[in-house]
Amino acid sequence: MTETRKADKPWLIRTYAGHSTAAASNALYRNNLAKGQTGLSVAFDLPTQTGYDSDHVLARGEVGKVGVPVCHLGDMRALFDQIPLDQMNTSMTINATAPWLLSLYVAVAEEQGADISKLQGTVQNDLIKEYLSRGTYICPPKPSLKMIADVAEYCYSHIPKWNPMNVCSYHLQEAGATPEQELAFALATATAVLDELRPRVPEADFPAVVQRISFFVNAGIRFVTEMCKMRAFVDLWDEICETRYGVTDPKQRRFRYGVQVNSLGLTEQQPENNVYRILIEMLAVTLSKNARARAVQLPAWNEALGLPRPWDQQWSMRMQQILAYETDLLEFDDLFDGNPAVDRKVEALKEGARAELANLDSMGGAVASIEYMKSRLVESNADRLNRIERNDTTVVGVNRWTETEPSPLMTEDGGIMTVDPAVEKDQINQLAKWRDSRDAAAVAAALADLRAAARDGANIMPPSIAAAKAGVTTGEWAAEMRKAFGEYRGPTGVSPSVSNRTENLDELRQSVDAVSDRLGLAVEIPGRQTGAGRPFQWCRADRLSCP
Amino acid sequence: MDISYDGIRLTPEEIVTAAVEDKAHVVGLSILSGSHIPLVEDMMERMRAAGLGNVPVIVGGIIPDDDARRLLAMGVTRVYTPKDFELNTIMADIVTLADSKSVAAE
Repeated sequence: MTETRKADKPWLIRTYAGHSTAAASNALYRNNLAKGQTGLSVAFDLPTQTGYDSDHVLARGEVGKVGVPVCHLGDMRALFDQIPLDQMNTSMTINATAPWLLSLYVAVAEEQGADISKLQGTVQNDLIKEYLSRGTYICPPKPSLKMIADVAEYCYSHIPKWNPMNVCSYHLQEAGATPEQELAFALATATAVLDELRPRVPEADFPAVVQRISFFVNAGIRFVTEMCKMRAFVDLWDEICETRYGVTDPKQRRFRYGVQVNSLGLTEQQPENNVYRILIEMLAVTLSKNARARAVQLPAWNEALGLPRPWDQQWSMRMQQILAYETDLLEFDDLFDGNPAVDRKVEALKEGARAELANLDSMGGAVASIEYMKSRLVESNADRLNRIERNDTTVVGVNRWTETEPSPLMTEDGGIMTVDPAVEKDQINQLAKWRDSRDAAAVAAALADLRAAARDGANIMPPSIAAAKAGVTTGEWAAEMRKAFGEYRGPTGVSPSVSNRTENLDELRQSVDAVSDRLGLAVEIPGRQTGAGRPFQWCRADRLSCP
Repeated sequence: MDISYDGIRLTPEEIVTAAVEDKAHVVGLSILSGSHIPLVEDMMERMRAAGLGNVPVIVGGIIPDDDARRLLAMGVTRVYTPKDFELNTIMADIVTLADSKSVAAE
């Protein structure tokens, strides 16, 4: 049978990339495409993700670090210079400022002469996981949900092939989620958005809107469970689309997902071993034909050390190309259909996820359950770390077999890329020039229109696109959103209550008591999962490899 | 002993103000974006200017060895990286640092 069967098309091969400046990132993208990469995945720097221009006080030290700074149309133009957007499939990891970055993208595509309705790509646009783990939110949940829906509504009528929201379970696993939690929290997020969108589109068109919701998942080292998790996702999404939303066409109920494999489990010790981890994790999302990723991005071996260099990223991309083009994987039908061990695990995961979904529903859905989900994640992460410390979980090179030869991969540059500190100053100078060269009246008018739309509850996409063309900056756009919708500080997960989930803390508690007596302060020991767990685990990957 | 954690996205100025108001015995920073050098430099200057030069500052993040040495030279007391996965050890360090501060003050 395999002799006559046509091989499946490979998934989109991407690398999450961007750093320093738009021009430097453009060169990197074109280089990656020349090496056989088939899609783009844009990493923006933190100021761009949180709606600050490069010269804002909170941008200090962050410009061009974990991604590319995009302050205005000129930056976006430079980012995609000589890359025809009508032929590209671009994923942008952007959330709070997703309506804005999509507006800049549309404006650049128009300048290139592209037919906007043909554009293909994805904006992440999932704010719920920003509150839970990733951290680049701006506004409170309700208006954020409204803006997510604005993007979806705009895309559905203007860029029908664009994925307006990539529901992310990726960052939930990076924050310690169990597979059941990943399934339930992500699916609850998707239904929260679709429930918001439903009254905004004609009933007959709603299944097409459902079809455009895509997912972005994580794949960890327990790869058989992870593969089963993906199969569970496929089944549960099909079930939800059919029963909750009455979507009758099975094609429109398909679970479409992209993936970046796990970064949390990458080790700083003996970092070369991460290559194996990345390969094994990739198998989880590619082996099952029935639950195979549509797009794959892999971290680099050295991401627990710092920013990967182009060569490090190339090494990871070659891994994808070897699996997709050298092996026979894509010539086979599903390898696991009817496998009792796989079926049992998939059913168990689905059962666990359904129970948690029902629980979330009873609390009013994902938006109402943010604090609850946050506390569950913090607990799970504490359990995960406890298992490593107790040696219940083996991490090679970390808690077992820690002796190592010196690595020849650790070169004089420390085996990582560093961003030139001069980049920030240069970016700020360019920004000042941009501001000076604009038509101030056009900018003021565009901002007034944007303000009015936000105030009146109208869709902010059309005035955002007009603002992009008028030369408005990222900071100016976000300032209007902050004024209209307010700012939010997410739950930290840090609680003053004493934890009973931790171990070997008796001695430590005694010394805290003793020191507290000497310092003359009240004694209060927060649980380790809250006090210490989060700051060290929060977004390690977010800020480096992870989208 | 108490912990006040104000969450993400604070300027060095805001953190130093909080440390003054809370009369902190130890200040802990977490930076994973690679921007630790300029931000910690700024932070240490502001700590000294606010009269908190003797309050230990600890930093955690994705920090290469060379940078860790630079941070220690700036006056940072301890640097933690993904290598330091034993949280009890980190907590014990913090207790000791808080204690040495009280001993020094006496």
